[in-house]
Amino acid sequence: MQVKLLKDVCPLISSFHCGNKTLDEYFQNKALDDDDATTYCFLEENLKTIIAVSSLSCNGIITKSANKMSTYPAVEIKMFAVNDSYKGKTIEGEEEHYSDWCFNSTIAKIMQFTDNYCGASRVFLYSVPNAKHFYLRCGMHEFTDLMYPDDRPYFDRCIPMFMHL
Amino acid sequence: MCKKELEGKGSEQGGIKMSVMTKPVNVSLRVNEKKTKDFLSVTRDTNAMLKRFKFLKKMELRAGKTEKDPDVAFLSGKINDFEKEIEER
Repeated sequence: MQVKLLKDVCPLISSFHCGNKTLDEYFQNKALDDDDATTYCFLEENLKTIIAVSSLSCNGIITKSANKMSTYPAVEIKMFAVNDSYKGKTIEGEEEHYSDWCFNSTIAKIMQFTDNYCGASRVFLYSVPNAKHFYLRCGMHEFTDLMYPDDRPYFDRCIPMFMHL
Repeated sequence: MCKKELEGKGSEQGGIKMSVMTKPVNVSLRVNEKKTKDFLSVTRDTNAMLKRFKFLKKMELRAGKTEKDPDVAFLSGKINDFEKEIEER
């Protein structure tokens, strides 16, 4: 598998489909111009097929205690989507799924960034309900019970999740 | 991640199906004041991280990259860090 920036392999994105129209539309039409996110493509070795895509953005997790607010720098995985034909598929000769491989590669990419360029100690994302178990398997923790109560209505159907790097 | 499609009045007029995020754009996560300790108590699962990074390195080597490749060197460095961290516990 090879990891490339979307801007370097953009003609390939038109044939990427993850089964969610909104995400497909984002990756095909908006990701390239989204100044708030950098999109990576995970490609087959032949560089012809995109296995998965992830968009990363700088963000933070805010805590408050004794009237003092603190922001813990974090990287948000704004989007993560796996090509329909690779969902549930295991890597040849391995037990690992392509989806896990791509997600873990995303975490490694983030750590390369946070180790070398701009520090952050956490990663977070908003999961659709049916992807929650996948993210738990990948080491993400559910954030819902820790969330500021007033924020709950904003996250209808989304499950906020985080990981300590 | 989590988005839903809404077909609002504006979208009907414009003939375009709008996609609206169900969360405000670029909003940070805020921790419940009473749960700050719980949040901070979640630390890195180094054993799981080590396992994942070893697998990533194995796959990079399987693809023909060498130890000198910057991506492989980074993974090796992290693997060493994780192993050291586990040893020091």
